[in-house]
Amino acid sequence: MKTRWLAIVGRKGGTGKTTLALCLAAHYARTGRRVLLADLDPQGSATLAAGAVASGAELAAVLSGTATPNPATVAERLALLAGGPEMETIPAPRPLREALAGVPADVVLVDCPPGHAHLDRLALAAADVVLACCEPHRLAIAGAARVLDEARTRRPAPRCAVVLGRVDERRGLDRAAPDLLAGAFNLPVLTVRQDAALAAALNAGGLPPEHGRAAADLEALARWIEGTEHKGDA
Amino acid sequence: MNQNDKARAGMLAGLEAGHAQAKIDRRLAAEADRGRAVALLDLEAIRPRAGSDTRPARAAHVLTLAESVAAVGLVQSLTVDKSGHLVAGLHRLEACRLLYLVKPEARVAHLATLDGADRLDPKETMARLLALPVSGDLPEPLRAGKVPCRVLSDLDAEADPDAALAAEAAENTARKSYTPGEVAALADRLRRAGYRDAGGRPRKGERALRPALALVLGVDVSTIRRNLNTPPEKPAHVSGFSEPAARLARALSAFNRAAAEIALSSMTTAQRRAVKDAAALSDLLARLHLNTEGKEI
Repeated sequence: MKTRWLAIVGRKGGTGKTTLALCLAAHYARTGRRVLLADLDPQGSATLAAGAVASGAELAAVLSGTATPNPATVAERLALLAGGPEMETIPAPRPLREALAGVPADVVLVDCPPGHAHLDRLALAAADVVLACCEPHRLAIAGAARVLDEARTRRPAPRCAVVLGRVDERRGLDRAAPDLLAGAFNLPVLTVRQDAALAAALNAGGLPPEHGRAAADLEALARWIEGTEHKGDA
Repeated sequence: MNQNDKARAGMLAGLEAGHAQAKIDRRLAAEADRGRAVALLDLEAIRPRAGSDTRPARAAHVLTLAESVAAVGLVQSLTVDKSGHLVAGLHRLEACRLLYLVKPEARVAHLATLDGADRLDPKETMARLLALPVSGDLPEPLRAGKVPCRVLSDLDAEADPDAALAAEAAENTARKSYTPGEVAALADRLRRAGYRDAGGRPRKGERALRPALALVLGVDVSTIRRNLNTPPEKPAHVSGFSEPAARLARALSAFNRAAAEIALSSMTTAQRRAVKDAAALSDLLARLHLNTEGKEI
């Protein structure tokens, strides 16, 4: 099976990038795929959430070319290359696909940091699917537009979608947002509904729950991703 | 407009702001890219791009560039892919090749292979070719047969001609922007090398400064004219001003920087007027500062 490369971006902080990365990672691992979660974030949020120690050196060292990748096992079939502050200062990072070649994985999920265009660029260059996390708020939309504009200039172009998280259908704006954004971005908008069980599980340091509203939405999201060709396919 | 409509309008404004910021991101990334990964490659190691549908190099252009390269060296690096296929800079490459062929007859023969060589005045062309420096007088690193190249290490022009074409277009439309000070310094070097800044059409045999400068920097002549006519760069500090004036100058300059990141089209008329007024005022303060040469005002 060819490795699927997913970049989870958003540029603005707090739009649910790490939550989506962890949810997808857990979903793929549970359905029998070997998952590598690459934490590009200098804050190391995914690393912290997954319970791995954020020494910070792992992914930064691999991208600098001073270490070979040696991911930490987080759960069955789910491995993680930790992010951390060193990520801010890599002078000439190697391309992700080159740096992570040889790591056995069916899916590589790259969790991008907020506010770092140059780190986003590493993920965009590697990705065959780009998921831009967004909320129905102008700052989140500006961040998503900023990074999606860049993703769409890439050749070969990755398949892009906007992911609206924590959607509460009782709110009028949340109901209107998918259509509004689909029109504005001219991209599919995939939604993940607000789910208290998911928030509680992540807060307790566990993996996202297997069932529930968010899990059902993630399954739909994963099906959308399945329809993507791999980079380099004819 | 109810609350939800306002929120929707705000969301769409966010979208526009994101697009504008993405443009700035691209410009900054391109400038950062240009600053790194410049390597000195052997002139012979640079190969034509297979399947390139770009036009052949124009003889007149190459000769003028060769004269400027001889005078001030190659200012804009060439761009090549990971295996040395030329991505951007065909005229610059041909100018370097012409100079590196030291014998006049070889230079004549090389120029004759280029587009439009038959339309050049033979006598004048010969005189210009003979005036070009020979090996020992060539600028470094061309003297050693090397040219500065920006290497796009993730581009394979043979495997991905579309990406190569996109890189060429990006290279040719998004050159580094030179400050008026940098342009003036380069103009001085060209003047010292015998280029004349006479207005109007250059007389026969005269080497005109502005077209040469435009060619060297890869921008059009009107940009050069604007740059050479601009007063010297504003000093970065405003210590010569009295404190309230300095504060005002700093505030206006910050305002201008912020305004530059917002598309004029997304502003109201009043906002556009405010931006223009602020720009005029900050310009006036800078001129006052220059005229008083840093004395308190």
